[in-house]
Amino acid sequence: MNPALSGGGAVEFVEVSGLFEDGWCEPVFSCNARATEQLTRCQLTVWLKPELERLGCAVRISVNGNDTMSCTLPYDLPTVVQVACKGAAGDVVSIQVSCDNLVVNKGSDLRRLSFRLQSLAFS
Amino acid sequence: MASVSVQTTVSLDGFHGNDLCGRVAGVDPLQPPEAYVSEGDIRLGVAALALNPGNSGEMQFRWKIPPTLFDKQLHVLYVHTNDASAQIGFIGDPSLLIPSAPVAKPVAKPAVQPASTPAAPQSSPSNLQILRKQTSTLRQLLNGEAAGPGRLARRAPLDLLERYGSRFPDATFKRPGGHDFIWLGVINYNFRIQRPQHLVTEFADAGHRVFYISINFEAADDAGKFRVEDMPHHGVFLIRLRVAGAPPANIYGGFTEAQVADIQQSLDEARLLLNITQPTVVVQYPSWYDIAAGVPGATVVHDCLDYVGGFSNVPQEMVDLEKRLIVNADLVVTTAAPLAEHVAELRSSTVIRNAADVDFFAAAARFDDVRPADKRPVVGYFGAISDWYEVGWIEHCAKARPEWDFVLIGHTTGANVEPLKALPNVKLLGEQTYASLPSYLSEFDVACIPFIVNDLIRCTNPVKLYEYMAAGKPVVASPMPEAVNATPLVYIAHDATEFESQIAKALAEDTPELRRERNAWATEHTWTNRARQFLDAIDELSPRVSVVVLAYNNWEYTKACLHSVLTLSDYPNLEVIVVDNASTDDTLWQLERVERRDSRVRVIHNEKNLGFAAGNNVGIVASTGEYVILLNNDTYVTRGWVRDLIRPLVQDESIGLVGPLTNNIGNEQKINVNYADMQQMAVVGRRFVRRYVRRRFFTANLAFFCVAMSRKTIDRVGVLDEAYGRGFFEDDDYCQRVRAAGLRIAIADDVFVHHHLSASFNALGSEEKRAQMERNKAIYEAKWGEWKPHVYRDAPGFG
Repeated sequence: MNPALSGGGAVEFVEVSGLFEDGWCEPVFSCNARATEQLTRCQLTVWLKPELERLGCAVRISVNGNDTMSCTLPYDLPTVVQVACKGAAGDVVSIQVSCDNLVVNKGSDLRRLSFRLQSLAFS
Repeated sequence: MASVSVQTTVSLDGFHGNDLCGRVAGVDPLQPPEAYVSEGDIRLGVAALALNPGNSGEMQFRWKIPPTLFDKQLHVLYVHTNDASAQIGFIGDPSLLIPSAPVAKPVAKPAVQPASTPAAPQSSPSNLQILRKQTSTLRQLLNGEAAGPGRLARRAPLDLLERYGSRFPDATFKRPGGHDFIWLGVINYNFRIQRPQHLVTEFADAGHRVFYISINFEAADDAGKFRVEDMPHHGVFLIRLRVAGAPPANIYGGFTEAQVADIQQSLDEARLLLNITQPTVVVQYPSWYDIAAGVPGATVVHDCLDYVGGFSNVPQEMVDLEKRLIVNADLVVTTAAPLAEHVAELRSSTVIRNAADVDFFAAAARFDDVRPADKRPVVGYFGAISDWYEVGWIEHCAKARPEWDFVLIGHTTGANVEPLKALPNVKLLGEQTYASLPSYLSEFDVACIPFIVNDLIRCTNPVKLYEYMAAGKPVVASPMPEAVNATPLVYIAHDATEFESQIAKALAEDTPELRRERNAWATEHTWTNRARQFLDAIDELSPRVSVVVLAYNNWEYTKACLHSVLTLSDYPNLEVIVVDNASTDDTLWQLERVERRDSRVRVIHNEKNLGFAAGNNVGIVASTGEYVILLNNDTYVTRGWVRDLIRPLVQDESIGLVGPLTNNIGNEQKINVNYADMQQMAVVGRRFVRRYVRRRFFTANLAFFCVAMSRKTIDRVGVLDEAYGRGFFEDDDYCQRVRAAGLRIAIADDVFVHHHLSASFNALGSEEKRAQMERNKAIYEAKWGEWKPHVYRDAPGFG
């Protein structure tokens, strides 16, 4: 289990893409999760590496294919984003997070990284 | 009873439901601290504390997030105890409050008490404080910039979509590697499709964001100072600025000084909210000049479309304003060689001609069609018909050749077309849509450009020439230089009689081969190619700049300085060289961490403290930039400072040194400003300097807390004189040498840099400091004669 997905026992993750083992994500992260209980909200904690000459960067969160949240996140500050995510036990919910940030990597790390997902939890 | 001092730490676990949870460690259970939550300087409430049963030195806290924070906006929350704090960002979806609170209309926030803790010391902002100030700036702008120091306005939060338009989220997305363009055009996007629309769509297709600003304004209210009105093409956003005060109706009459200030503020809000970075501002009409020049750190490009003085309805003030625009822009693009010659009286320009959407107009081509014998030849024209149109030529030909039909498309404002209206073989169709033009063009047998060759037309590169040719049509044109020199395929007519004969010749000579040849010529002149030329020219406008920061201990200063340089420079070709002058604290270790994190940073470690001059010289020698900026580590820069500071050097080779305005120095660079922290500094400093865009004040001396010089200056004058040892007077000495080399010294009155002053020297005792000054003064006077004390500038706001 990826540490970023360990929080919140209310779902079982069915499919995850755009997330690396160390919590870094590509510009688009998405997952499908099956609810094990009634869901009302999804909570993400996101961190942006402080290296671009910007105050913040734009992040868009879609729940079940609907754009639920578009916001500007600051750099170098863990930020919790709570969005509504309704589902009954057994339902599969999908979350997509897209971010226009792109990290400039050094050395041999050639991954296309955008943001770090510190946690993703449902309740 | 003796009290025991206990150092507490705060850590945040995150949110559980609507509760912010965390721990306070290092507490004395007998004297538990108060823990409260604030947002910026606004105290929101006290957190409930409870002993952690598993750890007697730790307390757990919970704080219920008020419904007002569920508004889809960023809230930077701080949990404070007596001597520690921690922060976290929070963004909540209002629909999570259902059914306990309304969703559609966010609730106004309750009145809150100001924090009782004193403001953090200005002199040593921590990373945490800096970030806090940045986000607070964003919040302050969201809440209206009118809020002054200590009077942060609190208004009911409005939904961003409601405030800035439904396209706002799309507009905030910047594609990696893309530039941001602010387009200050001469027409609105939805007016007749011309060069502006073609270029901006090409830019957007190349991965850039274009913010096309409307030429009309509307009055601002509490709901924001701009609106994203539409996205007519992916990556192109139409922005309407909402202006406080009395907004001008449009751009054509020019702006008053007050209107300029109001428009700049609206644009500031747009830049911040839309995350516009390293902007290129393209100006197509002179009245935008002050607005464009006032965008901090922007590359200003004047896309000079026409000879403005040639229009009968353009006032002289606009012609004069264009001269300022031409002189002060970072790049001038002209559309025609004669226009470039006209501009060359003031400066050089890059010619990027007009073009055609070749595929679009080639749809009108009938390369192999043969005109039936019973079909009357059609001589056509589309475009504006105004006072520079040879109406007489059309009248002459229509009368001489009743067997030809003349189809003229376009509005006729300014032209007297009465003589044509009575002619049965002339059809004036008025303005038609761009989409319909190929179908009209397909019916033309000959296309024409019958213009009076006056100063305006002599400098014109007609778009329609490329569009006609894309469709393979023979073109008969007046002898305007850009038509004559374009290609031998164009038929040139000098008068009405020749116009008639050239049309006849064109009709007679036309063949499928010639049509294809014309089309082939046009395919070399596409908007895609022109946009590439444009982008290449812009890329050359960012010469490499090296910022040299000399550090000796005082890591808190250096950290704040570097943070500001790395986050606010807004400059694409930057090198930051930090020279550690043998610090004895953890400065070097911290610097190496920064170096690992940011590829722009290079750290050089001196084995011993070489002093100010020699320490900076190490950085100068190691630098690779075409321009070098020496920056003290007790400074904090403002957005866009790099480009604005080097601009005088780039534009005027007689200038050898440039410095900014500042809050704290003993010479003509000092302005009279007050602020409590870096957030206020950014607002107050900007408010001051935007009145003086592009103004240079020539002086004899600059203080070297922040000074820019070109590589040419260094090659000519050399590096700093190391005889001055630890410091003092080396800057006056260098200024003398620069002037002795015949170069001028300028203050860029549109750049502000905060200066704490003498962070390193304050570490010396006052006696040692005085002795150092006396010693160096003697060195200076031995070289240059009596030293003259510096003076403040005798002008309002200075000193």
